[in-house]
Amino acid sequence: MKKLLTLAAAALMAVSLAGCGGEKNENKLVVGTQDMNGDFVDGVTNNSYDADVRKLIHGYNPVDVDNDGNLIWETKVTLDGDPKTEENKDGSKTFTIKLKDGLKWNDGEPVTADDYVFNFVLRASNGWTKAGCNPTGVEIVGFNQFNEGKTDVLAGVKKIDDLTFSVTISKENLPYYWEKRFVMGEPLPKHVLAKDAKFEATDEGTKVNLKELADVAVNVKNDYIKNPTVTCGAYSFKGYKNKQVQLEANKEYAGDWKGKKPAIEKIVMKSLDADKDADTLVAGEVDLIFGVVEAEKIDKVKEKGDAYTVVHYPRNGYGTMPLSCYYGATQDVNVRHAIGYLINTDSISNAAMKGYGYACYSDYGPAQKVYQKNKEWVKKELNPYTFSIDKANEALNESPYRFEKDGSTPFDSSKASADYLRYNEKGEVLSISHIGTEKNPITDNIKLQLTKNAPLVGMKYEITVKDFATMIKCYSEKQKSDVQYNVYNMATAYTEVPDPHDEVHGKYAEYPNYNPSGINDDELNKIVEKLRASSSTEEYEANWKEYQKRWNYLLPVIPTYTNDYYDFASSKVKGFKTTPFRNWAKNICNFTIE
Amino acid sequence: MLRYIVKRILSLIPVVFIISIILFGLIKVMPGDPAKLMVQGGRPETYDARVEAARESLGLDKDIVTQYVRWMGNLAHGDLGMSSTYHTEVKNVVAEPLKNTVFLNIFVLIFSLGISILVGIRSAVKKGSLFDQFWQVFTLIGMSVPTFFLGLCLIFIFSFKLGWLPSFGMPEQGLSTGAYILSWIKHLILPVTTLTIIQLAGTMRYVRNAMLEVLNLDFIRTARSKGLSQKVIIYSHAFRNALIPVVTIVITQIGMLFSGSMITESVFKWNGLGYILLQGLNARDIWLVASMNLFYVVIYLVSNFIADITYALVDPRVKLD
Amino acid sequence: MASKDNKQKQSIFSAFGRMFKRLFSFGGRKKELNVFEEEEIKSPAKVILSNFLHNKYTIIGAVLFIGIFSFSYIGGAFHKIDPLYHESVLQNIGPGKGYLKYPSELEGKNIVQISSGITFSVGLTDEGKVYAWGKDTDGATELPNELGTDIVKIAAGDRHVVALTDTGEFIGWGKNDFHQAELTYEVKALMAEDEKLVDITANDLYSAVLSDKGKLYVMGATNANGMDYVPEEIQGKIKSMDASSYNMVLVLKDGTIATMGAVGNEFSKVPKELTDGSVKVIKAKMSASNGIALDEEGKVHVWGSNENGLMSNIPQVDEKIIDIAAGRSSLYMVGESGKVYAWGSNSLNEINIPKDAKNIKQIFASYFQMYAVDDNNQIHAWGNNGYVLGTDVQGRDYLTRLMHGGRVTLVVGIIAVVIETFLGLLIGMIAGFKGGKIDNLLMRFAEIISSIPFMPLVITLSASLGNSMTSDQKMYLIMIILGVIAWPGMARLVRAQILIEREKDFVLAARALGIKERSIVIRHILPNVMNICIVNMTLSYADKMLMEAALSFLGFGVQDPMPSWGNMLNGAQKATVIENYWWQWITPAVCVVIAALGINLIGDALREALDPKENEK
Repeated sequence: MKKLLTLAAAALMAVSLAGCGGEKNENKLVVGTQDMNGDFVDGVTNNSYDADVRKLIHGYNPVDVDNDGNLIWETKVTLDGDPKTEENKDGSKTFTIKLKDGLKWNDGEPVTADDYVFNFVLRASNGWTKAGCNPTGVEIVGFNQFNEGKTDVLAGVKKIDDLTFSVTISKENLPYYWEKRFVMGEPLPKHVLAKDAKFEATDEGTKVNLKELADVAVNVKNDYIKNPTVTCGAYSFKGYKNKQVQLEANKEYAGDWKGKKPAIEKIVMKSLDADKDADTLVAGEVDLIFGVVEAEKIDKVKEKGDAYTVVHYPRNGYGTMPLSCYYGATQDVNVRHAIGYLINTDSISNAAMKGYGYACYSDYGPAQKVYQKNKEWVKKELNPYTFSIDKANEALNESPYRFEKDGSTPFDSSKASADYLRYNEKGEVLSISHIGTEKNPITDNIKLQLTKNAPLVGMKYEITVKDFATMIKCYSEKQKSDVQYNVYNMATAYTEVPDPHDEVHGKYAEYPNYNPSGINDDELNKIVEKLRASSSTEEYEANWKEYQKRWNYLLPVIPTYTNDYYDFASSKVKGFKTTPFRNWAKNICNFTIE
Repeated sequence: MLRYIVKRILSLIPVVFIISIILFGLIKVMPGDPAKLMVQGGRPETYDARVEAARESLGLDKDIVTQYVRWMGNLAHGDLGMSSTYHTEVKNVVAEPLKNTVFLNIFVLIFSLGISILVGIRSAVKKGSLFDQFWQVFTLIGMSVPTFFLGLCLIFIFSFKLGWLPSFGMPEQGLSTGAYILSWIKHLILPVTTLTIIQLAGTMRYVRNAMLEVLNLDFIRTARSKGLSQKVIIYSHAFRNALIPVVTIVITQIGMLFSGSMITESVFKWNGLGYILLQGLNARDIWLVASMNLFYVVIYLVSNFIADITYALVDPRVKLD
Repeated sequence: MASKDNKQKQSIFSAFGRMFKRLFSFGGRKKELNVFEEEEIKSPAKVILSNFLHNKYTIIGAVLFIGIFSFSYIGGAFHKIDPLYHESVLQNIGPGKGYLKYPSELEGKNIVQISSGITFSVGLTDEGKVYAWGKDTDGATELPNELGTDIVKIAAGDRHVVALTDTGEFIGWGKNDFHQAELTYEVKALMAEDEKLVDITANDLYSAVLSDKGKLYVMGATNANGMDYVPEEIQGKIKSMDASSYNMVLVLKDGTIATMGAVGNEFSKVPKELTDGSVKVIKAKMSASNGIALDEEGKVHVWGSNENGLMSNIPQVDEKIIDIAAGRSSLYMVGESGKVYAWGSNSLNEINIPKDAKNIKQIFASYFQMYAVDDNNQIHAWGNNGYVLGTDVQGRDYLTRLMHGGRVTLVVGIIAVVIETFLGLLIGMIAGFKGGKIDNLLMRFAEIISSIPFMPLVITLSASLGNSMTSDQKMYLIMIILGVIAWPGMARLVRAQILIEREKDFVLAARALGIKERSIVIRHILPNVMNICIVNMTLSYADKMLMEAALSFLGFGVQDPMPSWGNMLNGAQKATVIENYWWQWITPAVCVVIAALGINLIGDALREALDPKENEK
């Protein structure tokens, strides 16, 4: 027995010693990420950790994002000059895009206009949707008929020559403030995925064989998405096994938006435990972690001083609590205001987030340029809904819930308690049910605050904690009568196109995945339509202010807090710099390993 | 004997069916719509169509009886269904984790059995000695410690404080063979230790008690009185007989190899079946959960069945009918 | 019919009763069994009991379990819990008491100022010397060397302290992650060359300094409260200030009150008389969301939120007030007579003024520690004196939660075991006695239940049934699930024992003697079955507790704010908790281990005691 123990101890020692002398001098970056889904081509899921891999392996997008979040034409490497735009007689707009010669896939084949056209056509096709993927290109002329499978011609996309193609955007979607977005799209390797498929450039557009394309779509979904070996980004995909992605520098890569080529030979992306990421970094198991928000973790890495490079930037999003505008008491704007007044958001950012959080008053991310520019205006003009029991009571006195149980005696705010609640004329009690997800100190804090404060204004407040899937169900089936929740806990993040249209437009009130509160306000609808049609920065700014003002009044969602994101890399990673709009994966070509 | 085996196998079939219905029913009443969870992003205009497509691909558009029949039918063909989280067949999703789980548990089995047998025998022989008492208390503590707490303690000491071993995850890919094996060993040590300590507690007591029982039997007394050496008595007479009950628990434990340990795998982020199942449960990945649970059930039943047979084979006193 | 049933029931009950009596009474059997009586044979119960009691592990186990049980139940009775109480600023404080234990050197000296952070206090005497006491957080009580005896002002923030010398030099120490304990470069740049600092104040993560030009500058984390913005109309007119988390109250040179920081709350609505100059304020203090001002005539003005009754419970005073102070959620004033008036929250003894505090001339309060100085320069301290086991992430007392968490975990286990035993015993007995088809059917059923993997089944059940439940109901659900799923093991044991006992010689003999079947069952078979049951119950109880812990750990068990040892351990998934806040995971884990170990030891000893082989000589 003793021998066995000694042996075990010796083996442990040997292993740990051998571990110290591992392969250290490799030109390799180990990135700590979180659970990926394994979909490395856009179109199926939108896991943001998968998206980082996509950013690394796909390239030559005609449109890129600069450090401030502006969309730009990528003319350094991909495009041969800015695309020509042409306003057509029917009100549509055509972008003619010319590629630079000499771009190559990682297997050495040239990148041509066919590959771009293939991408647009495939993603707009009926077969793609049928395969269970998200169609894109709704704005392209002829999308609807093509997507429904009624025609085999996609009118809005056309190959002109081997390096040139055009995309035409339909009138209904114009003007659009971020119109470059419509032609965003990385090429797909047609020579691998659809070598013999028919893609005919006719006067009407691109003509395809629908049956053939549907087969291609299924194959892409089943194989290419999981294992995209032929790509044209900075890195080539080498495998995904045991929750680790392996990437290798792409020798054929022509460069990123600044013309830089990857300097790090290998990248391993390891899925790690979000609760232990800072420790894994400090223990040397990974070289880079990103998106850290917790004070203890930040302090832990900061303590190590020069051993780690620290980058922090304001988050492009915020923590939210959508209030249901279609169900129960929260339909009334005054009740929503009251809930807003009942949460001490200052306490969340100061105490619960240990000073690393800040308040967010309306629907914006602190990273956005338009917010940075109008910070003072936001502070002055928007209602911060500072925690105040009195104001909550005042707001409720304006709401239908201003009576005692009999539905006629006015409610006396000073007596409010769990036993003395508010009722409306019909004798219905003011009752709010809130569904939260898994345990975390912030949601726990909100939970405690609301349960404690709500009775002080005569509001019955019940919070249940469910797992995420249950919450999504309750959230997405609001049309049904058995939905019992008024308040949800979520978080939101903006893309490079901060268009609030889909999130608040009444058109989508039935689609909680898009419009989470189900708000349908005519004025707000008009504002967001105006906002996306802004033709200049000044106009956009004015509309943005109008939008924030209205949103802040309607309060469909309570912004609970926002914060800075911290990215850390061990000091052997040189050139480490990230911004809210260009994360580490976007900036990978700037990094070197010492 | 043969008749017994046939009878048992036949009796297993309805059991499996009933369980499959129970499982299916349980999973169906779990709140959450897998089709809606499957559809993410994209434009709202096309949302309904995509949910419809997802529902169809998961086979959820049919009525509940058809769904069940189809699931069972597919299982018979080795088709475990479609995973809603991973957008691919469950078969592909579980292949890797299954391997990892079995691999992890083989080590656990070897260590826990090896140590149990060695220590168990000695404990029984030297009943009441300091050695025995130490291991008795040790196993009792092992039985009283929550698995995750033990795992966290090990992580805290060996990964965070000493920095000897990785705290989580799977061996790194793309290394040279030597380094790859080393990486496997390093990643295995902590989860294997955790599981071994927990399992040891049960098996060691079992071996000790089995051994004690045998040592009290008359034939051992006879052997002693005949003046046989202690070693011969223990290893050749007593242990052989004590082995019989031990064999059965070994077989039951082999059955557990596959089911893995949800908690340990979660703590160490081991890409195993337990971990995948836990995530599947959270994401309402119905076919993954249903198929994997049924797989566990079958493994459990089969290993129990084999244990019974083996028991009868090795112990002439047991008669099956 | 009914009466017959009743009778039968009665007889069964009485038979059971007799059985139990026999099992635990000594010598009671003598009369009945005098035929077989032997002098040296003890009754089995006596043997069992003496074996059981003479096992030292039993004693250890019993001590452990009774200890942990009384910790939870008796301790919990003394420490009432309000699950909704939380005080974020007190989060993650380590174990330790003595926050109020000021150094004895301070007695009798002229105190200029006492200021408290969340766990410590600093005092300043008229000699210009600073004293610090209480529990150290982030080095706030480690006075820096540069600190001489020329200090004129001190102020404690939550975890940092700032001080000012007579020449206006700024000294800060303690937590400095937002530069709250240093005069930042930015502030220096704003100040004029000849500007001298005259006053300081500090609160949650920030400090503020006032210059002789009446200008205010703020350092630290001001993201949340917007305190970095001093309104231009008051900048340069400030005489004194007091800080709280989200607001500051300022006394201007003209004797009016101004506020800054978060806007739109009750605090920012200052009463008109304080702003229009009709009363001249000489001193103003603020709690978290209330202001209190003292005017020239010795009258006190209070405004702000009515949380903790700070507005509605203002004491009626008919004397002149000489001093005011404000804790985090309590307010104080001192009358001419030296009497202290206090109102507000009392959850940390904030308004439990010591009885002997008389003839008070000064009062100092900040956060949760209060100090009053009387005529003889004696200090009277009250308020939060610390936490034996620290606090959790929401600032709740960990000891209290641990006690009440124990109640939940212990009860969940007990009820689960009772359900398990009841079902197991019932089904096992039916199967064992009835035999045949019923036996076969029941055992198949048991096989089905036990072959479904345990953890996934519990989790699935918890997720599907717990959908529309509150956290209380969910706790009961966990009990029931744990119990209902675990019965097959018990049923099998019971059945097997019955089968074994039935075949034993003495049962056959009894049968041959013509003793009634029921009597055989009750007298000979059941006692042995009960033995197995009791042993199994204890061991399974330990198991159930571990199970509850594991389920809560995975987030499927008892939900916060109701504590259970399992969900208290939930935080241990975070490495930061494991590393920095050991009391938050070691203590609940140790409690679980102690309880489970205690029960396991008892169970083990019971098994040994009940095992006839062990009783052989």
